[in-house]
Parts: sequence; structure tokens; C-alpha cells
Amino acid sequence: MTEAELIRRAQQGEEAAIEALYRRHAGRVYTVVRRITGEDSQADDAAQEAWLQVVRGLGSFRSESLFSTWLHRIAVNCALYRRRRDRQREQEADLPAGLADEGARDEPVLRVRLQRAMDRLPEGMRKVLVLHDVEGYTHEEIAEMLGVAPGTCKSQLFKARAKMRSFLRPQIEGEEVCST
Amino acid sequence: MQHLSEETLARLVDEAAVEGEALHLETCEDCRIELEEMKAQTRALALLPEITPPAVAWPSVRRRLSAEELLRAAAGRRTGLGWPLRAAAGLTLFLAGAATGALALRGTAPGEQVAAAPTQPVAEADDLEQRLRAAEDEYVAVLTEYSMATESADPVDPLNRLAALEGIVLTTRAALEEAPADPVINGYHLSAVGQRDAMLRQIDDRDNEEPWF
Repeated sequence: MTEAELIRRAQQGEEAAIEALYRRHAGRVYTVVRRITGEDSQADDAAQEAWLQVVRGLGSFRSESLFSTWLHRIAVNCALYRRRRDRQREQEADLPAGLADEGARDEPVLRVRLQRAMDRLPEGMRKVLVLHDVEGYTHEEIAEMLGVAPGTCKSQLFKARAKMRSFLRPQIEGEEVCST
Repeated sequence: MQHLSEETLARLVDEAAVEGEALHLETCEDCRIELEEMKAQTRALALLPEITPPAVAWPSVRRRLSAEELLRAAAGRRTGLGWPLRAAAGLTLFLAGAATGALALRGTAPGEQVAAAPTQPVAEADDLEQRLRAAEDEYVAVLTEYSMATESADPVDPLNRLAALEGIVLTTRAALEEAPADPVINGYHLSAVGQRDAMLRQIDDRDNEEPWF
């Protein structure tokens, strides 16, 4: 079944069509909300809210734009709203020794470390880093979403990249931060 | 020699260096290396894969949609990939339960229900689908609880295990795109997602108890 047909049926409230759309796009939605919120329970709530808004708003969706683009924007807004509503002081922490970039040999471990380093960024830095470096939005688009100037976004992005580097840089030789 | 700041290097990932910066980069190997590392980090971020939602996500969404009366069942027989996938998941639960014995399904109704399913008369498709979905949800929930309750003596670094599980989730998800109804692949995927979620909770609990630094 084509996506256009699924959307048409979903607009009629057909559960099977709605679930099929969910199955197709759930990963993408959850990924962006998880990375923006930086925390599982907030991501669960934001993703759930995003899907509710999508289903509620299906009647107004027009096929001029891609469904995935429309859906993604809703997911981003829900994640941002969730963070604004439940803002809490971010704990900055250095990652333990040995969390250096180990290259292609340990790629899955690198991915996990990148994700956990992002989770530890201050909220403002994380939002911009995720939207720009991970999701590929431009500074102008991010500025519009966050309600700030593009220059502010750039500044936050550069700080975020620098902070990530400090988390992931190889430990200084001979110095141990923690032992397991 | 004063090196370029990390924020300056972060800017140079996307923008051209001004004259003074370019001159410094020509003469300072440390800054050149650091800039390359920063670019590699940015490339790696762009290549991060999707994160699989928790298995219980759709049932939660469905409940809220139902509560708002936004859903209606389709008339007639359900079509599309969703039903075969859930049927495959149900078969997988049966096979997984037989293989692992009492561990994941100890004393719980789903194990008995799944084992008994083949002898029951054929019911309406919708009813069977709901039972499959409920069994799937409970399997993942019990597996997650079991993993969290079991003290692991595994000497493997938790982060390495988490990374390995994430790799399995990605691999099985890619395989499901090719063969969405395959019961074996569905079984591996469900188990890996459950174990990964449990691992993440363990690591987060450890982080809260024992600071990294």
C-alpha cells in the first residue's frame, strides 16, 4: 500500500493505517526526540505526544509537503516543548578515561559514547547540536524553531562541538580518572 | 605558541579560516590534528543511526488514541504487512518460550497461553491480533524485568555490551526490512531490544549512584 493511500485511510481514522504509518516512521520520530530531550522518559512522552498531534492533525495535512517532513517538524516541536516545560539543571560530567574516539574498529562503541556525550551536554547546546549536526537543519531553520537569532545558534553549536571534543578526547597519558 | 581555541576550531569545521587562522594552521600540527578530529566528530554525528523506540511505545500511543476516539477498526480483513509481522512475532514468542524454558516465562500466563495457542480453535482475526499484541508486550516487559532483577556476574564492560546489543538491534532491524514476516528475525529483534533497554536502565542507575569522576 502506498503512503498516500495509508494517509488517506488514516485521515478516516482507520487504526490499521495509523499503525502502519506509525511503524514506518516511529524510529525517525523517536530518534529525534530522544536526542533533543537527552533522556528516555522525556523522549517517550514527547514521542507519544508527537504521534497524538499527528493523528489529531491528519485532517489538515495536505500532500503538497512530504508526510515525513511534516511529521518530523511536529516531533522536533514536541521535544523542544517537553524540554521547555520540564527544564532542569543539566549536570555536566566528564566521561571516564578510555572514552576516546577509537575509530572504525570500535564503531558501535563510538556511537554509544557519542550518544552519551550528547546526553550530558547542557540543554541549549544539545538542542542545537542535534538539530544541526545530527538532523541537518540550517542555522536559519533552527533559529526559527528555537526563537533565537541565527548568530546565537552558531555560537551555541561551536560551544557544543568543543564540549563534545572535551568529553571524547583521549585521556592524557598516565592519568587515570576512574577505575572500574 | 597560542593555539586556536576549541570554539574557533569548531567554527572552522563549516567555515573557511581567516588569514591569521590559516597561517596558524599551516604551522601548528596540533591544531591541524585537532581540527581533523573535530571534523571527524561532526561526520560521525551525522551518521548516527536511528534509535529504536521501546517496544511498548505503540500500545501506549494506541491507548491514548483510543481514549480520544481517534481510531476505528477497518471493515473486513486487515491487509498490509502489519498483521503478518504480528503473527510472526507470536510464533517467535512460542519458539522462544520453548527454547528458554521457565526463565523468561516462569510462572506467567503468557508462556502457558502461547504454548496452548495451537490447540485452541481459530478465533476472529482481530481477537487473535489483540492477543498476539498483548503477548508480545508482556514478553518484552517480563524479559526486561528479568534482566534488571538478575545480578549479572558478566565481566564485560557494560558500555561494550550495550554497544553490541545496539549493533544487533540495527542488524535485525535492517533484516526485517528485507523479510518483515520472518519469525526468527523478529524473535532476535524483540529480545535484543528488551535487553538493550534493560542495559540502558542499568547503566543509568549506575551513573546516578557512582559519578564518572
